[in-house]
Amino acid sequence: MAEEKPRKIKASGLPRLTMPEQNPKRRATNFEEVPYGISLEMAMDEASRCLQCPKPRCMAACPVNIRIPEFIAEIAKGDPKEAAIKLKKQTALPAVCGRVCPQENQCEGSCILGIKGKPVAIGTLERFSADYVRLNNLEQLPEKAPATGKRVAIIGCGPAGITAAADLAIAGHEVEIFEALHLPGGVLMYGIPQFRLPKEIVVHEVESLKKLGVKIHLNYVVGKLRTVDKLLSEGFDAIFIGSGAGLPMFLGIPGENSVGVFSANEFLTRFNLMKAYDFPNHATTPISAKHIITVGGGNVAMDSSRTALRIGAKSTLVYRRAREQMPARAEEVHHAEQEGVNFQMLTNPKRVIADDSGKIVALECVKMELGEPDASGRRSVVEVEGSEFQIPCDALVIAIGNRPNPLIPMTCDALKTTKKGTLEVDPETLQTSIPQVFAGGDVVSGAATVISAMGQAKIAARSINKFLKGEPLKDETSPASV
Amino acid sequence: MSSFKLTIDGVVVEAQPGMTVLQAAKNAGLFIPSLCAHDELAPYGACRLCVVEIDGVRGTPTSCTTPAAEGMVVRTNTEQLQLQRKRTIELMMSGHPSPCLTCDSREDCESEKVTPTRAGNATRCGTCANRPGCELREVSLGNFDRDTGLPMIYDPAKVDHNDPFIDKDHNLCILCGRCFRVCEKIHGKPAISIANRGKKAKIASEFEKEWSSEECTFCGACVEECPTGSLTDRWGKWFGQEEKVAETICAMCPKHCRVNVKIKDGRIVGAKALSLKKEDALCALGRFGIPQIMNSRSRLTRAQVRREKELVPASGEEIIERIAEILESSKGKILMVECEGGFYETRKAIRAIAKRFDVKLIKMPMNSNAFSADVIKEIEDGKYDAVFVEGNYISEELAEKIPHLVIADFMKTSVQDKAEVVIPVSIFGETAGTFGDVNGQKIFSEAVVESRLDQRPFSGILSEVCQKFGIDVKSEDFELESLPADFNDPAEDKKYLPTQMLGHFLADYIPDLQKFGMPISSKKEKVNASFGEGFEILESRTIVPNFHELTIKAPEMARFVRPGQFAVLMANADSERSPFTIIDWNAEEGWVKFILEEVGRSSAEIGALKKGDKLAVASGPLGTPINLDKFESGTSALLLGGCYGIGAIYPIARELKARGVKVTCAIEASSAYLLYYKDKLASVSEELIIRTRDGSEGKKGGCKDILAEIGSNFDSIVAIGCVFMMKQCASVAPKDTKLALCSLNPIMVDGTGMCGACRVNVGGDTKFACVEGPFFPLLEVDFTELGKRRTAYKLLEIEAMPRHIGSKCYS
Repeated sequence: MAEEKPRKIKASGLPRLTMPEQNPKRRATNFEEVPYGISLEMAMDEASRCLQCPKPRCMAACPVNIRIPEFIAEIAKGDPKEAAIKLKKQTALPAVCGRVCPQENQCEGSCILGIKGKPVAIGTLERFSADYVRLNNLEQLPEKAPATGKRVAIIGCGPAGITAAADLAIAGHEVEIFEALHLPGGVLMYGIPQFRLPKEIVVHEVESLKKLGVKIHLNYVVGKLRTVDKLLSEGFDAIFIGSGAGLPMFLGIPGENSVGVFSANEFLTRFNLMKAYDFPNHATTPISAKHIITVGGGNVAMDSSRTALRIGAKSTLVYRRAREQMPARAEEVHHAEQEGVNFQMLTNPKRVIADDSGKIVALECVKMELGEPDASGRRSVVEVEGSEFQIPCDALVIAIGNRPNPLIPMTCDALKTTKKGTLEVDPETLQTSIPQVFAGGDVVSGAATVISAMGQAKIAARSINKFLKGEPLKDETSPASV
Repeated sequence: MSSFKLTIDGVVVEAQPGMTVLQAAKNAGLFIPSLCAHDELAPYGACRLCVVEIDGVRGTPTSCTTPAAEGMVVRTNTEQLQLQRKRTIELMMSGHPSPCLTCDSREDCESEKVTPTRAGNATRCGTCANRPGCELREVSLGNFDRDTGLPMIYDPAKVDHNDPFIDKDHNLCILCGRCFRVCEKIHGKPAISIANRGKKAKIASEFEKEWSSEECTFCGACVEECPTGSLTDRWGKWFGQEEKVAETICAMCPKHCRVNVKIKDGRIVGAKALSLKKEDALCALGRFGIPQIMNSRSRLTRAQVRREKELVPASGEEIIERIAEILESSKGKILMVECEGGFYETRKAIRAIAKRFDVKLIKMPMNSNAFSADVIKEIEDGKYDAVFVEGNYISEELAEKIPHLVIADFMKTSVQDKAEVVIPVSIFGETAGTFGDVNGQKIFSEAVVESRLDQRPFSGILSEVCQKFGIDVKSEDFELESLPADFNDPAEDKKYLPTQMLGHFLADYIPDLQKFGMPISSKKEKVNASFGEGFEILESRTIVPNFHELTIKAPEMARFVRPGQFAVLMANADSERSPFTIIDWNAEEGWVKFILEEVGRSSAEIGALKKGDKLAVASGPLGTPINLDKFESGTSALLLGGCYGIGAIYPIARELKARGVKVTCAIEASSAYLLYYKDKLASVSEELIIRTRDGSEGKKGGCKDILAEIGSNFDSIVAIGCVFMMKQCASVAPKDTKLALCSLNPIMVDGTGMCGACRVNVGGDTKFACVEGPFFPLLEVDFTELGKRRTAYKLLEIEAMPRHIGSKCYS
């Protein structure tokens, strides 16, 4: 048989795929995933739109630099299995990234097709190939390098920890993860709701991590049990800290300790990790409220306000700036609005009003107006004098951001932190002030996205690899910092 | 015979022949305390509280058994009688857990803890579900003071959760006999009576067998008339006293009994018979089933219409619109189902619609769950384009064969996913409507509570459909069925209880019915995520009622724990994360120990685990340990402990003693039978001071009194206990003590600083108790805020409690 030339893929020029979704009215009453997923035919059609650019801008815009055109080419050929193998080499969590990445600012935002028309639905295709192999049991484990005999401890089993663990296990090291909660997954498990990221997917990804030989210690609070120092003195050659940003910020307004005022972390943890939507089969008490106000404009605020709808409450989102300035992913804002979240922009909470039993009955707010742009270019906001008004409510969710949990640096003096509570690292190698200890994800960058945490974890894993081999961490041109 | 006169406490009152002295007094508006007496029951003379003095009559007869007579001169409240009553109550109370009644802080405590704590055992009023409605408490409050020196007897073995619906706690029983007398009155031959004598006497069925195996019909009248918390409705007891009672009609069987439902916060929390007459007696479903059905979490609440491939929440208009479309397009090929015993209004509308659209109408008898074989065949053969059905009569397979399926139902089912229109209906009690009585006469029932979300009566939807087509429903009058001759009354024997309602197995929603052999639908096994290996329980024992000492294997925790730290525990995969203080540990042997106080589901679930079982989650040690360096050698420390705090001060005392601190431990409990760890604490302290709230051991009082008396003698003070106890301590603690700490126990979720549920106000600043605590300066904590935050989930916590036989809490 004559050798076949690899088939050249031609861009089809079809219109961009629209992902079928649950009707907004329907999904606002359930916790099932919003998009339904697509068929192989739909995926092939969409993949055929890719121009297969020789210098793919999408890849450059991806925090983990996935070779996007390559996996898309496999889908276009009708081989989602090969696409998944290609993806898995570069990302430990394709099924997750395909769902929660802000693609419009990354790969899809840089797609050349987006200049004149609509970009390739890269996120949807990534999600499709990962789902396809998972649902059809076609997954293949990446090949592991021969055992190095080196031991690495990973602190935190969230997106950063999982990514670092996978890369380091593939590199042949003995990897153990220490997770504080009773289930692995970190923010994927406690923070991002079921309707955006089904928990079965997280469980599945963690299972494949275990198949790589990674050992996971649950209920293990590093700092309260073994500290970083103890881990090092008890046989670990290197440590990756991916403990995230789990410490909720509050507004600091009067009445904030009233009954019915929650951090988004608590609100979401009750429903996601603890499955309070299945109360009383699951014992964790849900929040039973008729009108829930969420404060904030990020993804966590969207998740909270949409969860509020799903538990049968009226849901209002209060944000101090304008809609255009909301940091949330465009799709989440769109979904929230579609489902019936009431947006109250340019509104700032001033005071929580409670009744005699200490329970919240209203939120006093003040109107804001946009002012001059500040140094970063973001327009500042100023209070409109005398515009105070009250919104009656029976629960308030505060989603204005998180800081890293101080538990680990508190119990390890040699570990230096910044003023913001994040860990001080070499920006290039992600090495901390302790040479054997590296860090990545929100504990370094402050609250950010799943994919940026994964990107950092990959860099840290590369550094750890070099460190364990005794190689210089930086290129020859720049001396290693060890 | 005509009325006559007698004198009671100097008042001339009129009485009717046949009246007892007690009745005559009551009739005249005079009060004589009594417990066993009951207006509708024959005199019994058991409680001896209604004793009186009557001129010319020897001794102090009980007024409830003494017939009133012309010219009698009666005294009800002499010093002698008061003393006698006091002694009677004291005797009663030596067998009834009553320390709260003589506690000097009772009122403050109860205003802080407005509802009783949901513990497994009622060891005092504070953990008794019947506190709000207890007649014994009402009669005895302020009327006795336990100065007789009689020991208080409490036996946890006297608590019995083995029968359906009724919790029995023989510790609380005062043998007033109301239960079996009311049983006899209603049923002729009582199913229960007093078994044994003396201390062992108790209310029991024959040979002390389970009531469910005996003649008992579970009419619940005994529960209703019990003056104490001895007999309680397991499902409803924690909701407390109802706000109102309203009459409605039960539609679970063709008899259509009138029933009084108890309403609180807009929901039905219980039911009872209209009277103690035999003809008003309820069956187990009427008495115990109604609130469980109505409040079920499986109730269907959203109206939905299929749009393309998915069911989408819809308004009433959309529902009617779609029904109209289906009726018109499927005319002549429609099957409609009418339920016997259902609302007359619904049935009338169905008949009217059926006539107009050439519908095949079938009638489903009550207590059935599937169509006849012919009808199923017809559906399978594709004879019908549309089926309209109220209830759960169609299998998922059959639903596949129906192009347009309209389901109205009161519970969620999986077959609804295959319907085109889903209508949540309100049922009796939630909607006004007409039923047939035993003779087929129409009886009207009012709505007594509101429906939830989209729920409405099916008749309402149907009559709007009729309006749309100009169908005259009024003319569609018909005769309602009278009770069939072969009807067997479930109020007379529980074997006649219907097993189904609108095609649903009742035991699915009322699990205790399974004890009567009633069937449930086969459900898919729920698979719980596994959390790894879990933590082996090396030892579990109840040290005093409601307090469990749990030892688990946790080598890492044992290695790193320091005094004052806690751990988050979960009994099962579906439990809550709850914090518990670590009491003791051994790093070499790899175990840690906890004292758990039962206060609700989570603690009860853990308490029910046995040696060899696995605890799903144990995360710790958490929190900042107590800073022992602040206690200098040679100084003195007073450690105060109440409830779980008795255990919690132990490791601190032990460490302090080892460091050369002079430790005094002071502990409080409601009563002697709730004190524990006395020897352990004595072994690690110079002195152990004991206080009980009822004075049954040590001096009468609590930690507050100790602190007030000797607090200023100490260099440091640590108080651990319930919020109320610590608040009390803070109110009397010397202001100049160098170090005064308390250990806080707010609601937590993760316990690692992630959620902020545990925020407490300390000196005006918000602190996370899980990370920055649990120790805070005693004098700076805002205990009032803490108390409020701890009760945030009060109502839901009641719902969370598994309240049926064999549930995890009652093993």
